[in-house]
Amino acid sequence: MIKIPPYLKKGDTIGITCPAGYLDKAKTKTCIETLQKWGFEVMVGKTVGSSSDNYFSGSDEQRLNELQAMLDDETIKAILCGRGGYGVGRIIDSIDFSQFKRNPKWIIGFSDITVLHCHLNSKLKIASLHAPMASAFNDGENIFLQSFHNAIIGKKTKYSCDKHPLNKKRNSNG
Amino acid sequence: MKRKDFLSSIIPMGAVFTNIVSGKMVLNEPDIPSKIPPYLINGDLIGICCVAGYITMEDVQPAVLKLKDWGFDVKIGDTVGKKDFTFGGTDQERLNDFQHMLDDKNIKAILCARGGYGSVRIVDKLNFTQFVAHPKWVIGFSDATVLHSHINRNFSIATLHSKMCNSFPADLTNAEPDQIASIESIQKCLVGEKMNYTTAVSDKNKVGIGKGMLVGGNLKTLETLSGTVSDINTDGKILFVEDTDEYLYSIDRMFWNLKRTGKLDNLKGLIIGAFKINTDSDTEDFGKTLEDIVLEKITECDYPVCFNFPVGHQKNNVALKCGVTHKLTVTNTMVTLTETK
Repeated sequence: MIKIPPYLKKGDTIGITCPAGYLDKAKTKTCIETLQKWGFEVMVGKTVGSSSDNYFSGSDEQRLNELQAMLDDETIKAILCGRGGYGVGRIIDSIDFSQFKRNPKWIIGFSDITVLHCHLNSKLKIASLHAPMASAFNDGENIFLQSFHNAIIGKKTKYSCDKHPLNKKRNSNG
Repeated sequence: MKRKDFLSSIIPMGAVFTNIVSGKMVLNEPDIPSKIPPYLINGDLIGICCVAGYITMEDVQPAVLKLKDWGFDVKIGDTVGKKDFTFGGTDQERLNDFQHMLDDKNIKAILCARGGYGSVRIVDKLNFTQFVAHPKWVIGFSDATVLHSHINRNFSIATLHSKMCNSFPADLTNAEPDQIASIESIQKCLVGEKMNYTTAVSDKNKVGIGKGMLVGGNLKTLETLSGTVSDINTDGKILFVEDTDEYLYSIDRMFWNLKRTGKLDNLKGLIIGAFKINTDSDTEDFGKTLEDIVLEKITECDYPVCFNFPVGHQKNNVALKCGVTHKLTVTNTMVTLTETK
């Protein structure tokens, strides 16, 4: 059975870190303000808007250490990855999930963050949240951010999308 | 115990294949020496077909002339000149053509007309029963890495990694020396000459000597075969890889795939071929060179490594016998790859 991390309550802290590509700090302003408006505390890691001069948001060690610290810090209830790009695959095997396994928390992101989703699902059997990341908050309030909010507070969401003529019509659970 | 290991343990050595139609079973032990298809002699028939991308009848002519010049007969498959969007015919047409060539005992070698994309769409439907009973040389590279990898893993039969029809220049006499040598190396391999290659030294090479079965091909293709029935086993082998038009970050991710699937752990040698790196990206500087990307994955390994080996998407692309034992010698002053017994 998969373990569901505790849903977030008002006042909980969300950590933002960049385990992969570089992210300009200016792009996180709206994200931080929105999360605060929703009633959460936000802790922004050093890899966000770092002084990195290359593709990554920091060295492998810097990205690993920050993600590791946020996984281990019990006051942080969810970790929002600032951006994808490329880089989680370089540090995934060095992450120590023992604390996280005892105290699961929501890991949030997509694209390169799929490495974490896959690893959490197959190795740790802990649910994670495939969702928009920091820059998406600059698009303004929309159904996607609403679904993000609903998901972290544990509100059951029903999704729908346009029908496609080649869809295969079935019902299933999984 | 994994299913394939379990099956191997109950099937006697030598029974290296079974239900290949389904493409589901892998019964081959990694260390079984490859079976070498008969080398070609004067008058032998070589089939040309498209397993992946399309090619025109006109564009295969330089290869046809050269093969005839070498003393071989040529049979042009039905898929040559066919076009189904990017493909050299529909999946069914490409499957039928290749299957026919695998089964036709008069055909002693099958030259893939070109790469592109498409082998993986048909590989699980191919029936290798006749091929395993009567091996023949399967020739190509790039997308044809699917065939090299699948045949090595499942049937332990040697294949030839080389240029294809679209790389034969119309006028070989005016071609560059390296290109001529690459084309001529195909003939040498096919007639059974013992091969010996050298390449320039790179100060990033790791010196050493290693001996093992040569396997490899296009890195992206090998990555996409990970976890499939065609996934290559590299233990105790010399691995060569090449790629083209990939970003550095993507090459890094592919080498992580090799590392994380254990393919770099127990090599006897690592040969880095040509890598044409895509630089037209608006993303930031990746901060690592190709050499950095490779070497940081194998800091704990002590096998020889060489860079810039003449294999890949370039004029200098020598023919390599996959599945055949070679010795890689890397010193500070020379690099040699020698076919051994």
